[in-house]
Amino acid sequence: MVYALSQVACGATFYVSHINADAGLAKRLQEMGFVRQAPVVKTTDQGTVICQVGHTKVVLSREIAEQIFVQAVAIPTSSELTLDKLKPGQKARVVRFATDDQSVFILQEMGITHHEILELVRVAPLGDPIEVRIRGYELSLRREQARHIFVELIP
Amino acid sequence: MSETNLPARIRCVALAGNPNSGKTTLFNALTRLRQKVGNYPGVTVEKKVGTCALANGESISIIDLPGTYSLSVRSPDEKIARDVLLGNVRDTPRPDVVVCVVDAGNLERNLYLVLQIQDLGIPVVVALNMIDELPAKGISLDPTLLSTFLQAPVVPMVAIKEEGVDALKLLLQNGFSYQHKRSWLLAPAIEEQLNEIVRLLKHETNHKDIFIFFKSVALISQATLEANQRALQDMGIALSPTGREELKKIQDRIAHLGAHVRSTVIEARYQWIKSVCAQASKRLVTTVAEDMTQKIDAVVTHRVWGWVIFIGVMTLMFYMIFTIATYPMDLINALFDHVSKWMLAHMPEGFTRNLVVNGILAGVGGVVIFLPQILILFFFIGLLQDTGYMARAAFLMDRVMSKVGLHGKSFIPLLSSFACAIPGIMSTRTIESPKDRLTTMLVIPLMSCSARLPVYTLMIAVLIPNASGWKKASIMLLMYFLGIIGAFIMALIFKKTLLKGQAPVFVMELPPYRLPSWKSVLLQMFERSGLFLKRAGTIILALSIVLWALMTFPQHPGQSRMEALKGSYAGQLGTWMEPAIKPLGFDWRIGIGLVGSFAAREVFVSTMNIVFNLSQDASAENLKDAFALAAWPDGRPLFTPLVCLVLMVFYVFALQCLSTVAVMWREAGWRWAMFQLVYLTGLAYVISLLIYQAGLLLGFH
Repeated sequence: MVYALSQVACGATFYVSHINADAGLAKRLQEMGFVRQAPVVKTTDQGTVICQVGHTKVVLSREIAEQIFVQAVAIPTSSELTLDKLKPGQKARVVRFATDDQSVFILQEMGITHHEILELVRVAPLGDPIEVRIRGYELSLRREQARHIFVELIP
Repeated sequence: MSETNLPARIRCVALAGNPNSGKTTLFNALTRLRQKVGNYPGVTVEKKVGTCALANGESISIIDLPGTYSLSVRSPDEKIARDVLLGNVRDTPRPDVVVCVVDAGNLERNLYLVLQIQDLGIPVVVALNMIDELPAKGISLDPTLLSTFLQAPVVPMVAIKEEGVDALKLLLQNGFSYQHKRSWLLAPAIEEQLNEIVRLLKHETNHKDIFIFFKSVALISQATLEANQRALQDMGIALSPTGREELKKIQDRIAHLGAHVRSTVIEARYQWIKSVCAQASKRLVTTVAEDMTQKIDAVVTHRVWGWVIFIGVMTLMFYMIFTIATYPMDLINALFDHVSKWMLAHMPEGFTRNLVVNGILAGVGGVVIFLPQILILFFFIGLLQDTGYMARAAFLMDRVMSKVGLHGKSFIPLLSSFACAIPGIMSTRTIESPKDRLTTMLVIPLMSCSARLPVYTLMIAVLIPNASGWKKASIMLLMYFLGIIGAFIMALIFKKTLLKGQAPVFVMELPPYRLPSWKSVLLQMFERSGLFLKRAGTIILALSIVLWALMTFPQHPGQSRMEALKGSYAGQLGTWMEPAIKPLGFDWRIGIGLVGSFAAREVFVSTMNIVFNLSQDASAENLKDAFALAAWPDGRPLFTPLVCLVLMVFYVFALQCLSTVAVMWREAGWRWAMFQLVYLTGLAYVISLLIYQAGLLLGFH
């Protein structure tokens, strides 16, 4: 489901799907951070929209907000790092989840939530599952599930 | 939604907590063995209830809920835990207070469940367990501050040393002031919709339901309308048509907020927890030295050493089961022998003596003899689970298991099934995915349980009477491997056909290594073995009597014992079966054994005891010799090496255990229970047939 940024509620996280504007405006918006898959949170909407995109706060007019389309679920792009690609000893921060099916909620309830930092402790001798440390304890999960967790490396 | 209340006298307390939080240890410390183990109605989730004696002479009952990470109702354990708290379980009172056991060294994740339980509005006491491990982990924690944040009493304790247990009892005796306050908050837009649901449900239930808030949170977390309907039904709420219409409108508005509402709820809780932990606890050392668990894990999950240790542990366990256990087993055997000899000498000959000696003693004795093996197996399983090694074994084995579509967590149930399929089937309840769980349950009876041991032992003794112990042991191992391979192949087939599904979700905590609590290991061992003995004392006793009667009646005086047996009901049944089992090389007497052991495999040996004690006119020294003498009417020996082998293979595959069928019935419904019975019996027949016929063709006999 894709919504215009002007329609969605305040407070929830969405991801940029596409921009339906002329090339010039689209380019400017992209420079401001409205790139595909960028997380967006609308903070205020009184005709004029204030939203947080990436690390920047942006004020948009209603007309422009109507041309930015967002979706609730992020779609994985192959260029990004996923949890299963970490090497033992590497630490990373959870950025987003690729699906919204049951398995994600299980992981989230176990403490793997947005912005949380985890460390890949080790990989089982046969290559799967992996062991991660999160919130001060050790959890093991399969690569298949780790694949759905996008992370950014912490140096 | 804040109210203050002092629980009037507390009568019933539920113990909740994450797995590995020391919940069972606290339960044992509170109840001091005054506990009853059973099952919740309709499911095989273990139900433990005990009584705790307070200092003032009064007592309160304690319900030990299954260990869970959450109340989200993904597994039967979580569902039962939630339903008990909601007061929705038959014969189980709704608890006045929940004591939530929390591992102080793993505070963030443990508090998640506390927050969920607080949403219910039931007064919560936090039992802050294992505080003695904090200094080693470099953590300092302020329980008073934690209590202020949580608005709930916090009792620091070391349950295994019984420190803090009296303080908890005193708190339960005196009661405490309790203030329920929402801790976590959602984003305003979602919060608004949550309040709408609360309002709607309050109106729909006439303000009578005290768990509206918890139920509303459960509803807002559902992604679809159908999921919502299911959740409503599950929680026992019936909406009016207008209410349903109203809920649909709210649902539409929520859908507009995005599908992440459920994650938002989870994250809101964790955010609050994070801030509380940041204030109430401190890491004293910034870089914690590699602690003990890490050091052990570096070896135990090592590419090479991991497997060496794994195989070593398994070998040690089976070595203990098959060697050490033989000494007490010989003793038990001697005891039963002694008693039956004494009976033979002191009881007048006749019907009663015959029943007692040949029916009851032979039947029950043949089963009780496994007690030492079962004790050792449960001791090992308890020990491995308590120390934390079991999770590592599952970590190592998961890849192997996943090859056949099973789960690392299936390893523990399959391992338990080497003792007995019943605890094995019961322990599958930790597997979240219903299909994975069902697949595991379906193949569990293929793991050679200890009830097969006497059959194998007897047949191997007949097969190669004078061979060395090593040769006998390797044939035994062959049978075990045959079962394991069969289980893997069948699991693969089920996962590819009947139970096709997504890749299983495998999420498992690797708890820190801890010294085992001997008390709870032993307690668990005796509890489980007690259930086994109870079965021997009831089902098997009854069956022994029935079988004896079938083999004794109708009586025709003047016949030889052989003719009398053949004419008995059991003999008639065996004779009737003979055409079907003859292609496997079995005669009507083995047929009686098969019929007899349809209820329980171990009965085969006792049945054979009865059959050959009755039918052989020349009284043989023991069963082994009786088998050597047994022959077809034309004089060909009955128990040729090939037949012995085929009989063993038949027992590897056939589901001959009423109790397993009964447990399956309860767990998965009668259709799956019947399916399992039919597929395993069919498999046993076909494979035995193939082996026997191929053997004949190859010139064996």
